[in-house]
Amino acid sequence: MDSIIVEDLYKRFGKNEVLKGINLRVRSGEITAILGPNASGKTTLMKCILGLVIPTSGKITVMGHDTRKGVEYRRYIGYMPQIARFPENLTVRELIDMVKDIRGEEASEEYYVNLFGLEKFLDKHLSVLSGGTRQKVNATLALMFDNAVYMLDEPTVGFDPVASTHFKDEVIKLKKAGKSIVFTSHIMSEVEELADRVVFLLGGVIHFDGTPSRFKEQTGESTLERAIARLMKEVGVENGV
Amino acid sequence: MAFKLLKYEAYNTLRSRFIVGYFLFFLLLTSALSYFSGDVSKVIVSLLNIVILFVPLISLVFSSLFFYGTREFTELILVQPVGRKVVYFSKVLGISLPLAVSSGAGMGIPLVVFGASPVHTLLLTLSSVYLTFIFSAMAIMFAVISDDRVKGLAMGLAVWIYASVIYDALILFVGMAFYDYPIEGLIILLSILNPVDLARILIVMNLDIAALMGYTGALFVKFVTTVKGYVIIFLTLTLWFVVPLFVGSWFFNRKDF
Repeated sequence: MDSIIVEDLYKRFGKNEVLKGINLRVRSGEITAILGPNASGKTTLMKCILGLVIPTSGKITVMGHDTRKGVEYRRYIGYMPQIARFPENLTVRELIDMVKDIRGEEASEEYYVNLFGLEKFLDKHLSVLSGGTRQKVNATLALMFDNAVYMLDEPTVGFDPVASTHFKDEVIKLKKAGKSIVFTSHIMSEVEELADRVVFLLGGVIHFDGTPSRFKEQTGESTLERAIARLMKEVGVENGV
Repeated sequence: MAFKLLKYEAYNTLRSRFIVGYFLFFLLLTSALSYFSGDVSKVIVSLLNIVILFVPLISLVFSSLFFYGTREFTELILVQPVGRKVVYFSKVLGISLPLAVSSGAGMGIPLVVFGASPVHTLLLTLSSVYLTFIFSAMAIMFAVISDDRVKGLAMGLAVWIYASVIYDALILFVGMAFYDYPIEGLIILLSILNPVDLARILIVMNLDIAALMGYTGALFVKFVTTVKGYVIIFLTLTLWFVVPLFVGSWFFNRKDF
């Protein structure tokens, strides 16, 4: 089943056209990695799906709900933003309780608090937490609800190897439970480890959509990193960059 | 949902120590003035000057900085199944309500304790509450329109300078230039273009000092102290709040985060 359907999505910020006709279908039980260099439109695409950025034109459907009609579709999404920035004057516990209260749903926050070792930080203010700890809180907020779709924007940046391993194990578990996972990353080993599918975005256009092995085959390279570098070079040449 | 969000927004605002300080400032100042002056109506006049200068400025700066400062919080809420209108209105009220209550109660409680006229107390606190809401809504509207906090704050401050400084010069100029003409109607009309002046008129005209203002003052008293006058003033003040509120909401619905 397609959990997210993006059709002819365009987004323009002033004169700058960031997304130029994106068509994408995200399937359940699959991990999709959105790759691309900085400023290629990855975060904007995610934010369009979440409703944080208003598309210039195009249609997005999440679990059968048109995102332009109502906000209930967000109930299906767990989102982990790129930079873990939170209201500084709240404690971790207050933040978790607040999001639970606003969402009005049961959550398995205790499981993730234990998993990431956040127990001792529960009563600390977010302003005093280190970057890595904030990222763990960020992950807890994204994963604690039983969602159909998880959108993770560079999720493992700032994680120590232990947290990173736990996190990746959780993502695989979610996939096996039939959830859709969309994530962006610049760490290619992570993409090779997790992704069933790679979507390569450059200059607001999708240049490749398929399995990681096909991506490598198509470019004739042995690793994803080299495949991306090759594709960027080719597309750059085509566009006269 | 709206109430739930308002609760969190207001809680967020109240956790800022500034709000407590703001309340204590009004409480101590009003108590001290009332205690030492002996004549509570004089205290009202002193407070009036603070209300028309200080309350709009503080409301403007605090709301603007708070809106920019809680952007992460706003983004966190916006990815939840909550509509943008609900997020926006609870944000405006969550910031302005604690401010309004701090200044209103900070002045109102000591005035009641020291036995000021209930009408004067009510008008002063109402003016303060209105000015808080008006300038908060305006600051947030500019903050929604501009992502650059310096620009957003500057636009708000420009309105404040107009309302508190330039406007008086404008009225003086109109008064001098059209000295020979019956311009009372025009002046009343011009007052509508400035919420700060409306608040000032509302209080001054209810105090005895209005008699010192001669014929025009008498005319104003006649206008303001009728039911029609009150209705027009409060309606205009309400519009001054509602218009930026809805313009801000329009921009907020279309804003990219």
